[in-house]
Amino acid sequence: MLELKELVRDFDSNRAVDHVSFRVSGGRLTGFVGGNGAGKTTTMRMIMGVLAKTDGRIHWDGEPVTAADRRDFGYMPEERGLYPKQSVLSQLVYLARLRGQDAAPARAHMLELLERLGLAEKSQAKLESLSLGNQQRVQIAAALLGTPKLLVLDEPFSGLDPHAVDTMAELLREYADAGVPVLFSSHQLDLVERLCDDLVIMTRGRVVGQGTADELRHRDRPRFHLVTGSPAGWARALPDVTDLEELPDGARVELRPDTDPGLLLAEALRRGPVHALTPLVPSIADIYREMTAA
Amino acid sequence: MSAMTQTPETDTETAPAPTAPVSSPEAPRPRTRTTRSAAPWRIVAAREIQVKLTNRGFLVSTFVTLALIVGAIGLQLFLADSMGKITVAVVDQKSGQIAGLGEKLARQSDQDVTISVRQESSADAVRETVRSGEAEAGLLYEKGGWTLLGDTGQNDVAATWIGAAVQNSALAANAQDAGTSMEALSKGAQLHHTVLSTDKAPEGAVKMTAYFFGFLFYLASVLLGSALATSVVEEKQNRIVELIASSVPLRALLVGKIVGSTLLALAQMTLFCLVGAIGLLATGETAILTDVVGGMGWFLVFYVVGIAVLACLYAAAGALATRSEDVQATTTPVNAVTALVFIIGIAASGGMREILSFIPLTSTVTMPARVLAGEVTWWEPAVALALSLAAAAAIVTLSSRVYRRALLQTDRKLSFGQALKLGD
Repeated sequence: MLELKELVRDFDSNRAVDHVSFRVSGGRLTGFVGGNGAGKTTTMRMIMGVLAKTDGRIHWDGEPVTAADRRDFGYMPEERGLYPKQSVLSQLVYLARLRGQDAAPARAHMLELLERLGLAEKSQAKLESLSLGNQQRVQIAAALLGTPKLLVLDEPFSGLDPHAVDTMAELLREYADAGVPVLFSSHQLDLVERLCDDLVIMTRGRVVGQGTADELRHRDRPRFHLVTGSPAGWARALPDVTDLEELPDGARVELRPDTDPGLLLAEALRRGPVHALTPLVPSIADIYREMTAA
Repeated sequence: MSAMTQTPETDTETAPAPTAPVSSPEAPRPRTRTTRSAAPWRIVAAREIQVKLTNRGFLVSTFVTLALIVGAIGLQLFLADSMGKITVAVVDQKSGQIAGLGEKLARQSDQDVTISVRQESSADAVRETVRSGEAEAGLLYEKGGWTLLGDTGQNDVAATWIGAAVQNSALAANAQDAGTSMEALSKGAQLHHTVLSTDKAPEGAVKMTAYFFGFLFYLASVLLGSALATSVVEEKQNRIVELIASSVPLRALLVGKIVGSTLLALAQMTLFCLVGAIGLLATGETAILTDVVGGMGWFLVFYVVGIAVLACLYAAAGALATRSEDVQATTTPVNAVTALVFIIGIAASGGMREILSFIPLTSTVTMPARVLAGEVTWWEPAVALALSLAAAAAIVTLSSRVYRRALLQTDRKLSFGQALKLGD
C-alpha cells in the first residue's frame, strides 16, 4: 500500500502541493482527478522520486519509500518519450536492466507484453518508424517493466486510440486484480467512473475529496425524482425536505441525510397516484464539478 | 460519449488482442530481479558504446579521420620522395662533375638526394630549360665564377649540395695552388659536440611530443565533446530521462555516459596512433617515433585523465541545454578551454609551464612535457593527477546536480548558475 502523509511541494513562493494525504491500496484502481495545475503531476513525480518533496512523508507498506522500492514501481510520466532511433525491444530491455532486471528474463517478458499490445511484429523496428498510436503502446510497455509492485501512471489514456484505451483499461484492471495498487490521473471522467474503485480529487494543490466512488456519490444529501403526473410543489412543506425543484410531472426533491424516503412516498400516495420515486445518483463528473467549483 | 468510434490508423498496425491474458500479473511470473545485477553506470556505458558503434555519423567521422591520416602520410612520403630528386641543366662537363659531387656529398651525409644532369647546347638553352620547369636548377660557369639558376626561387636541394660541391672543389683547387692539402687547410676547423644531460630528452623532442599529444587532445575533444553533450541533452529532449530518473540516480546515468564516451574516444585515438605509427615506420621516419615513444607513458596517463575531465565538462554543458540546438551555445566555453589547453600546452615554458602543470586540464599536456624534460620530482605528476581526478569527481557531482535540477525545466536553456539555484 502506498500512503502519502501531509505531502508538500513548493516552487519558489508558490505552493504546488499543499498537505496532500491519501492512500493507494493494493488491489484497487485509484483515479486521480483534478484540473490542469491542480498538482497531480507534481505529486506523482514526488512519489517516483523524480522531484524532491518540500515536506511530508511517502510510505510504502508502512515504511518510508526507498530508491530500491521505486525501482519496482511502474511509471508513466506525463511527458512521454523514449529513444526514437533505438529499436522497440532493445530500449525496453535497457530500461528493465536499469531497474535491476536481468536481460534474458526482461526480454522474454517484454516480448510477451508487446504481443499483448499488438506490437510483436514491430519489436525490432526503430521507435520513430512507428505510428503515434503504436509509440504510445510502447510507452505503456515501458511502464510495466518487470513485475511492478505499484503503478503510477500520469494521464495513461491521453493520446491513445480507442483500441489502446480498452487494452490499457484491461491491463490496469488485471494488475489491480492481482493485488497491485494502481494510481492513475485522468481528465476523462467517464473512464474514471467506469474503471475506478477509489477516487482522489485535487484542486489548487489540495485534496478536496477522496473515497470510493460510492462513498463520494452518497456523501451528500440524498436526492429523488418523484413522478406523480402533476407538479408536486406540496412536498416543500414536508419537514425532511431541504430543497425542491418543481417539475411538470412531479419534482426533484432533496432530503435531509438519513431520512427515510418512505415518508415522502407515503405522503405522495396519500395525495394520488405515484408513477415513480427514483434515487438520483450523481455522476463522478457532477461530483468533480461540485467539489472543484468551490 | 463516442469513445468507441474507430479512428483510422496511420500505418498497418494490427489491433491488439485485448482478450489474450498472456501477461496476466496473477500468474506468478519468474522474478526478474537478481540478487546483484550489473551496476547501472555499466549498463549505461555499454548502451552508449553500442549505440555509437552502430551510428553512421560516428563511423563516417572515424573513417574520414583515418583517411586524412593515411593521406597526410602518403603526401609526406610523396613530397619527401620528389623533393630529393632534382634535375640540373648544364652546358659543359665541368658543371656536370660538380653536380655529381653534390650528389656524392649529400649521400655521405645520409641524405636521399638524386641529382640528374641535363646537357644543353648553350647557356641560353640552360636558362630556357629552367624557365620552362623541365629542370629545377641550372648550373653555369661564366667569367671565372659559378652561377646557380632558379626559375622563380632557389631550389633548396640544389643550393645546399651544389653549393657545397662548388666550395669543396674550389677549396681543393686553391689548396693545390697554394702547395698544401685539404686536410692541412681544414685542420682545427672541426667543432666537437658534447651533450651534458644525456638522460633528459632534447628540448626539440619535448616540444614535438607535447605538440603531438596536445593535438590529439584537441582532436579528441572535437570528436568526443559535442557528441557527448548531444547524447546527454537528447535524453532530456525526448523526455526519457524522467523514466530513467525514476530507476537510477542521475549520477549513474552521467557517469555511464562519460565512461562510455571516454572509452570510445580512447579506442579511436589508439586506432589513429597505430595507423600514424605504422605510417611513420613505413616512411622511415623512425626518429620522430623514438622521441614520441620516450614520453608516451606519462602522456598516456595524463591523456586518459584529461579526457575524462573534459568529458565531465561536456556532459555538464549538455545538461544545461534543452534541445540539441542549444548544445552549440552551451559547449562553446568548453571548446574554448580545450583550444586553450592545446595552445598553452605547446607554447608555455619555464615558470608558467610549472604552474599550469598542476591545473587540471592544462596539466594534460604540460605535466608530461615537464616529466619528459626531466624537470620534476616523482611527487609532482602524482599531485597533478590527484588534482585532475578530484576535479573530475567534483564536476560530475556538480553536473549531475545541474542535470537533476534542469531535468524538468524543459522550456528553456539554463545557465550554470541558474541551474544550481533551482531546487531539487
